[in-house]
Amino acid sequence: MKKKKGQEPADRFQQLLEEGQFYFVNQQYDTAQELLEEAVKIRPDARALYTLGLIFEIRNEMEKACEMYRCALALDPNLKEAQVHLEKILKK
Amino acid sequence: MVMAKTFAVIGLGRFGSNVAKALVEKGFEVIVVDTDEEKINEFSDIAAAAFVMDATDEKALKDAGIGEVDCAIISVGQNVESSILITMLLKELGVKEIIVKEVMPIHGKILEKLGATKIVNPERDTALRLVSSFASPRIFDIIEVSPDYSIMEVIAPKEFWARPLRDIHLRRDYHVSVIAIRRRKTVMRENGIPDLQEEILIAPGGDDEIEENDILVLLGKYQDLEKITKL
Repeated sequence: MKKKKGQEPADRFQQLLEEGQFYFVNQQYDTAQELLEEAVKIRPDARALYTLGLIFEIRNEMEKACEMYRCALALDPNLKEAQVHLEKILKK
Repeated sequence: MVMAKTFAVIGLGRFGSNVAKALVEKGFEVIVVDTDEEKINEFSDIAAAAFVMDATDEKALKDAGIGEVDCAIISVGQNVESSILITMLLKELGVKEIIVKEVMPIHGKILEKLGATKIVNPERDTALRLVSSFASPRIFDIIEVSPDYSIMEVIAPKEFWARPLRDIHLRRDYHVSVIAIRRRKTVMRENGIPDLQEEILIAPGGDDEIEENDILVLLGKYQDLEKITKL
């Protein structure tokens, strides 16, 4: 049987993550959020959730940011950036 | 050379011991005093000197060198009489800065008359912060600098976005001053992980524009500051 053409989910995930991070760094937060949420639907991923946390943090939506950082840490306890941001918010 | 400031912390309850530990951590020379030997033992290795004694005893205070410190912090729990007496004795010994933990408002007034330079009420300050954060999720932090004035960190209201400070007339229309603007920028770290970097614009000028997501650090009367949070 011939393999169906089109993007594999893993490739699609990677593309969404990279584009989401690109738009985040370029301060286009709405677009970044859409792309990263799409990426998380394909695969729950610590980096995508962490970047979503940063988007909420920069918008001063701290409860949502904490939730994202906690989810990111549940998936990857070694993601120290998420730990640092979570601790900083909780200290407030 | 700048001389290091020396402190005395009298009373090692929860407040006093936390203050003493924080001062030691910052590298200051700290003398601690309490009537409870167990509490004093906790500080025997880290404090410059630790005395088990009654701080209402003038001679004991003198002998312990408390009169020589730059700043004394008195936190003797609910004992109003003792803290009044200790404040008076320290004033007589020539301590320049006397900070006292207030037990009740009338206590604070007496302490002021006796020469305490600062009265603190951590419970009231915490309650004020907590209530403010419930009242408006846009308040990040609040510090009472005097009974009338506070410093408040507040999320920039939408109607301020993309406008230079001189157009907003915060001082004229709202009677508050902008001390600083906290702004976070996005960065990509070397390891390929995105992050936020905070920059603080101290004493921003009239040309400085407020951006979306900025946090304004404002000084003013509480009721005026509160108005900004409701915009």
